[in-house]
Amino acid sequence: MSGDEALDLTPRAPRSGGRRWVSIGIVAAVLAIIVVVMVKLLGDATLFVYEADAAVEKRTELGDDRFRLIGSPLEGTIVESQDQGQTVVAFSVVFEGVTADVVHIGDPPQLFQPGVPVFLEGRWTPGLPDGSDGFVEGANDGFYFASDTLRVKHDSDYRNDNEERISEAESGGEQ
Amino acid sequence: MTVPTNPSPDLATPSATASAPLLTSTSSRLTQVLGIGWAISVVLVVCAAFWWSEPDATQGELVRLFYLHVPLAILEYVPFLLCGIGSVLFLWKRSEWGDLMAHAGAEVGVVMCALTLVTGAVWGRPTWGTYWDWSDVRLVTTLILCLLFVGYLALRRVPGDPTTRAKQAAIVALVALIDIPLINRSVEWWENRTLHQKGTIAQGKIEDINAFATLLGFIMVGLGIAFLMTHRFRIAWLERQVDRVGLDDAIAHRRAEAATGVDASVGRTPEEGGQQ
Repeated sequence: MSGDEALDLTPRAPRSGGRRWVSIGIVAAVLAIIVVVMVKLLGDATLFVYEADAAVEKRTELGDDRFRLIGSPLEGTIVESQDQGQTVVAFSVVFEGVTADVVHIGDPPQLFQPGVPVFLEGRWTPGLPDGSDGFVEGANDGFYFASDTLRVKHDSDYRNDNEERISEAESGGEQ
Repeated sequence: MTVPTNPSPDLATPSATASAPLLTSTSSRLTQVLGIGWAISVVLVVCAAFWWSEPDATQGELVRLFYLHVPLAILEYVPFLLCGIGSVLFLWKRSEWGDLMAHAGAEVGVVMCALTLVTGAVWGRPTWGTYWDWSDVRLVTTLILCLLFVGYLALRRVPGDPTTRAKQAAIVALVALIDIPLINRSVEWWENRTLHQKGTIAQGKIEDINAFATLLGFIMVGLGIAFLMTHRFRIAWLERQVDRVGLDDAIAHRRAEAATGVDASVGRTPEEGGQQ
């Protein structure tokens, strides 16, 4: 950096401003993306969320509105079948002792199992699903929740398999 | 010409001259220790995650991602908070050290935040049933945090007066930090709008070898952040020194020209038709 030959001190013409505009463009693009993300979040926030007990209570009021249903799948109610190449899962969820029957179209997540809470999106539908003669050990109250989105919400407890088996054994459960 | 020697914590003072090279490495004994510790912790976490720990009763083998994702998700706040502290120091004391720390914190924070989002998506697909859920407040606010700091870094690249730019960036950083409490509390405030569970670690809901594996994960990510932050800070510091040397060199050159009346760039006087 010391040699005269290396340092060009010729006064330069003002910059074209190209780099400045690129940088400002990037900042603007980031801001635009943030706005899009916020719109997506707020758009999804307009969907009402009901636990199974509240959804059953407000069934008439909800009509065929789309909403989000929360509950835990009941043991022994899950029946999986195929219809025109799609997976159809019929089961019942419970919340605060109130049961609601559900038909979900689509592959359930790997963690989908009895006792692990789920979020479902869809709407109340009267009657029974085509070709069905009722839900196994379900509410069977003349309505079912037709779902097209199923998300599993696992709880905050982490216990390893061995602990679980020891705990079950101590409480007299089967291993 | 002596390079300006502003004191910097844990930074070897540059004592080079304009013609001699400046520091060519950002390494020091501290970073060597951090680096070795980080490498060892990576090996330990891999062993703990894949061999020593047990599958979870509910999640099965999927729990093994917990040991990476959760430490990343929690410790990503650290570089962002350091960015905030550096920004306050700059705005309050015009601290160059603070400005450099803020820049380093934002860069490392963005990397950690991006890794959090990626590991979360990989975990989310088999557990929740989706890589991404727009209605999950924690997910979306984390993405916004990442984007805000990407914007911060873009702002720092806008040409212009460095002091003004640093001031604007510091204000953006402090505004962006408001998002952190939102992310942290979202699982409590919007319980029915998030797939994330409430605090597992804070409530002690993970035990034994799985808790140990999580602890190792925190150590690994913590050491990684410290290692990257130190190096990034030093790179920024050296860049600043190089800029100064270049400017001092140019001034000295102009003074020499004025004294001799010779255009150094072409070796001729203006009267001889030297280039201006």
